[in-house]
Amino acid sequence: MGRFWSLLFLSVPILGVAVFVFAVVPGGIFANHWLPEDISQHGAVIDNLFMFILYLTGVVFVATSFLLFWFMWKYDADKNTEPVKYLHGSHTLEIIWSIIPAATLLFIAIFQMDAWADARMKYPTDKATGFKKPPLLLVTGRQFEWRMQYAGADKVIGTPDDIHLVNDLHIPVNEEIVIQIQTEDVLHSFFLPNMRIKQDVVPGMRQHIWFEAKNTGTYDIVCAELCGWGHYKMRGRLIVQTEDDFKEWMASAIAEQNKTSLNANE
Amino acid sequence: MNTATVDDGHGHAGTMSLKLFISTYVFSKDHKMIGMQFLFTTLLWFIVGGLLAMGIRWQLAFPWTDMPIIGGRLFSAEGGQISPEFYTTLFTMHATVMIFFVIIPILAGAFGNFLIPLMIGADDMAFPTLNMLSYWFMWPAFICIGISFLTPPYGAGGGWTSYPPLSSVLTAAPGSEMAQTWWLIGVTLVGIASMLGSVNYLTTIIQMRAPGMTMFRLPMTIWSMFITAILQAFALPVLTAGGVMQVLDRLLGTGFFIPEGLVVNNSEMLSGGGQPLLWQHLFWFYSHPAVYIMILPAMGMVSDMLSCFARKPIFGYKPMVYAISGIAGLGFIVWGHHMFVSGMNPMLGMTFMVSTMMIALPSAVKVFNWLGTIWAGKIQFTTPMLFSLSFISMFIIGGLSGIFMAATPVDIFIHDTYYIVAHFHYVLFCGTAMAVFGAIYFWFPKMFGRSMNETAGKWHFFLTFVFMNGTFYLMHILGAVGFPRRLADPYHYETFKQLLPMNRFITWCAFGMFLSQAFFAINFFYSIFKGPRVGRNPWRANGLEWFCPSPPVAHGNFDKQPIVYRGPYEYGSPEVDEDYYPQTQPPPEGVSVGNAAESGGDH
Amino acid sequence: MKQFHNNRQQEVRIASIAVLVCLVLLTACSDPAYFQFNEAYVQAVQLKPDVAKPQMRKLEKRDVELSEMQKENISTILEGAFGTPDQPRIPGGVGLGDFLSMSKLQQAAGPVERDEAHIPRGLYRQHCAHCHGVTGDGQGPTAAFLNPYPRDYRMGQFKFKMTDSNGTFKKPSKEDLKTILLEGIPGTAMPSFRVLAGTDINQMIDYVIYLAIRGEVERSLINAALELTSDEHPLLVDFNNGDKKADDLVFVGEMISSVVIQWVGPNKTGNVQRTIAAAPDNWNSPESVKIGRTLFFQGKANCFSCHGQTAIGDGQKNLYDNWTLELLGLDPSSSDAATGGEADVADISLESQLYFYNEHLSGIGALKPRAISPRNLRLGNFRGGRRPIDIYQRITSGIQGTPMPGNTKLTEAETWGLVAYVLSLPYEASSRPQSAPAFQRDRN
Repeated sequence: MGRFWSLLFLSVPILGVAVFVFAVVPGGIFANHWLPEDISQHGAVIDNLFMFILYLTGVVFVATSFLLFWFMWKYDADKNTEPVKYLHGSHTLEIIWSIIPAATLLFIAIFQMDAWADARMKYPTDKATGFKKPPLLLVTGRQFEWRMQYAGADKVIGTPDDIHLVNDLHIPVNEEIVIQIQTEDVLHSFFLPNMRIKQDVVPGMRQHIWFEAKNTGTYDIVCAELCGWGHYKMRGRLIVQTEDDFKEWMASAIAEQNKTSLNANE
Repeated sequence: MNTATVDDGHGHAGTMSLKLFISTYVFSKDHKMIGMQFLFTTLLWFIVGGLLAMGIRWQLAFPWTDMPIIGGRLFSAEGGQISPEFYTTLFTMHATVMIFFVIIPILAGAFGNFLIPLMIGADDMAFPTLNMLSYWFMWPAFICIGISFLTPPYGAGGGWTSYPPLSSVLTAAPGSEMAQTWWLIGVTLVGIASMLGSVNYLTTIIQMRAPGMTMFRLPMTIWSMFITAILQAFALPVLTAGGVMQVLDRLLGTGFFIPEGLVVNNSEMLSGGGQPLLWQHLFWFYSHPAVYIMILPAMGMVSDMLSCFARKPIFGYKPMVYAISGIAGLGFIVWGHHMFVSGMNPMLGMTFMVSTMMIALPSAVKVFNWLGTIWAGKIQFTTPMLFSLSFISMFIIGGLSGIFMAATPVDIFIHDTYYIVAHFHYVLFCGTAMAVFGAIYFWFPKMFGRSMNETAGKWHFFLTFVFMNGTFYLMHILGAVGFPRRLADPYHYETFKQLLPMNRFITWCAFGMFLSQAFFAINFFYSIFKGPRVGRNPWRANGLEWFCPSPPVAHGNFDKQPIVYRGPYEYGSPEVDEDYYPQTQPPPEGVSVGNAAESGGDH
Repeated sequence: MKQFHNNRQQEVRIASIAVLVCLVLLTACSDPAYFQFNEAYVQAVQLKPDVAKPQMRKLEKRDVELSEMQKENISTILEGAFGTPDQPRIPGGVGLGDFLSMSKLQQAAGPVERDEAHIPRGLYRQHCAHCHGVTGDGQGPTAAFLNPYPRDYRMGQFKFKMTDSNGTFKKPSKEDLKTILLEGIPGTAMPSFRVLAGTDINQMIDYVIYLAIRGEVERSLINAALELTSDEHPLLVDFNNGDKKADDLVFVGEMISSVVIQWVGPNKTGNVQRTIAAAPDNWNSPESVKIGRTLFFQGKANCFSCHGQTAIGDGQKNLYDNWTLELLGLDPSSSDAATGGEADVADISLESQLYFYNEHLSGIGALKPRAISPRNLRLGNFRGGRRPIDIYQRITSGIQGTPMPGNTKLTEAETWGLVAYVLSLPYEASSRPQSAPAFQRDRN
């Protein structure tokens, strides 16, 4: 039976790697079962880091799992006639397999600090003015929707010319956007899968996120922190448009919000 | 309980007065009885937790359809379709039950209690009454959680992490009324039970070892229980404090976690000045060490089983002990990795990234040492060995997937997705639970004086192994797509629409996994009464627990005073002809009890 | 190591597992969803004032009471006319044929699933039922946890619409319901369904109207059944009596038609949103705002009497919406427009107000009544929409079902002045005091 069990354990690295290969390589049974389309300028950093760790851990996974299989196969008591090696350890090996993983892990940790700082610590500067870039809009999470409040023409959030929308986030393409995020009631999390952006919004706290989209299209906004029974309902739409389309949309939204007449035949 | 236990040492055959029955089987102070009480109780809660998981899987595979058994009873007007708040209850209670009523009590309460005195050669724990209390403190917790199941939405719904303000504001969420308060009280009581236990274990291990049992002759199980008890003793008070603070916020209107001016569900909050993030820090300061509480004892038991069935000493005993200590120590300074995107100061993202990466090191060292243990051994593929080997295989997967989360920028994407769910189910179920099963098969003969059926055990292993990998491995893929946790209906998102077939497959595997446990359940209960009887040491192992009768003497455990001459891993020793060399066996004539008998030699 | 082998044990095991699986499967399926009878309304109408305690109305039972047989009869009639939650029907010959589409209803109705053509069914059950209830009664499982409660469609009254509430045809148009689905209702748990496909929204609109009509018909049938004397002809439709049955069905048909006509409007294609003439160019000027402010506090508008001296909605307590009035045992149709309830509701203690509910309704699962507060106008949160025409509509048409009256006495200029004032309130300095910190912590 030892052979059978060894082969069962061999199936772990084989199938394990196969699943990821099928997922990563486009087409096939796991088509569209991998990282969603990345439409942001800086999302590639996260994706590359993910893949780097995947390859690294993949190698370790295959190596250790294979060793496990090999030892099970070779040292099966029913088949192995050699006496047991009465050994309590190996000082040398302990040093080797402590230092190498430690160095690798430290390397990964330090290597990623830049990416983290870019994502969450380096607030963008407006190249024109040299000051901090003002936010394009305020996104407020509440149970169970995302409310958008665009700063409008005066570029200040909280004035009468603000445009109020729900679940509908339009941004222009190829422009660095800053969004102010907050919550009205409980914890939510503003998650844009296609931008690789996620930030919990905390009551009493005002935060900012920033990104630059490089493709147009319609994408999801997801809430990623349990906020009650309607957590699954907090779906918003992120619509990335060309500069012209964005301006046109903005004008129509302003017009709709300022509507002062209603024609029954419309 | 079976009659064998009664005949064996108590000397009370046949009838027993009620008072004696209660003091023997109900409010027993005997560590073995308490251990078995924990074992049976936790196994029953395991079924409850499993059923809750089946509910979650049903909703994810067949969203908004008639949920079997429970749908018709609770949601008849809707034709059995569950409500969204019921889903929040399902995942909250699944996690709560599994963590606080199954894994932690089975490791520390069942195995810790049963094994510690036996393995160190003591006749009982240092504080038997405290030990009994640590079990009975669980029952008020069971009742609190049980009460929360009674009123709609049939449980607490704030997640097992209970983040405020969702869990602190009465009107914020369904289940956030009485059920959440009961939940908090229940969890606080569980914490107290654990703390009582940990004090007991520490004292017992330090003070009550048999003559000759030095610290470095202790089996890995005991080392792991020891370190785990330190973790519990230092981390739990923080959770208890946080839990009390949250109860006060809910009931007395304090504002520990509630900021000013909050209006939730159109109800004004009166208090303020608090910080929601404070709860997260307090909670994770305990709950991160808690995950090590949930794996270290399993690692220790796996080491013992591996060594026994490879017929070889543990490779690197002292490095293994240092690794466990390293995991525990580092475990206190990594809690922020649960909070990378929580809104805490991003600087902390850097510091916690480094410490979290480092904690992978001792875990890796342990994996290498386990591989070294079976290398050049003579592996016997018994049921406990199969579970122990699968622990290594599955822990490799679970541990490696943790590295993705430690990388803070990557965590931005995978936080609160199924990548995390895959990771912790791999370490907790595919890792710890498998080790627990193995440990049950291994020490069952000692507990009950009978053995479990090997064939059924192997079927149990095989089916569980296949189905659990089918269930949890694909969750890594779901997580890579960004599939979020805790969503009752993720399929109306464009990004996740195509994931329904994969979720269905996972659900079928989960059902298979759940049903496969029938092999274990039936084997377990059947063997207690009708299993073939065995002697003291059916596995030909070295530890002190195999020196006493099976089951051990009711009062005092051992029929002869154990004296310890060496460590527990002297398998294949050249000093004797047998391939095992018990700790209590005196050395042959002319051989001194010297360095060779110390396990953990550096050669 | 000896292998412990025992065949009988294995047999026992396999058999047990088989039994387990069967048990699981047997208890698996539940009955289909069903419409719940409007018990609350039955309680509300079958009681009469207690002369001894006039302020606690309708405590005593009337001489006649709806019998179980009559309730069953009503249920049978309703099922025949409107079908079940899984299989809806459109009653024929009542003018609904063009207004509601059977294919839309079938897509909205039923359990959540995909039919043979992979078209999703059960939209209402998936998106709406857990709050609004399978019956449209606003008492789904989640409803108890919401503030405000979800709408009970069965009264046929809707708050936010652009049809003329002062006219004959007050029901919302399909456009109005679409707006609610697209925008949600800010400040409540009603979410925006904008991200759903347009077709899905249309199916749900039809289904909501279907539920509303069914609910209104149920109320009419209950009233009619109570009129019948108990011994002669207790049943509204005697299905066993061939001659009488035809006449009865005609009677029921007329009842349904009178409900339907309100929905389909004079053109049979649904009510039409009113026309609002364009605002004058300076409607938003400071002068106009001043006019509005003056009116807010006096004379023809008198808004402050409910909305409070500071417009934060603290002008009146003990106001109730129509849906709640029924739960308190009070008759919404006899309400005074200004206070929305019985003239002396404000004088009645909360305890006695809840008396009827506690006595007769809490046992059947009705939701606990809550008072309705006038809107806090300084928050900038307008449930019916924040466009100027939305505010205009609220002022002139009121909000049906609530104490907010429609004011037709103001001139155009005055109305727009009020609109301008209301829209300016959230931006006044006193609405956002500088001393109160908006945030405790700023990150980045």
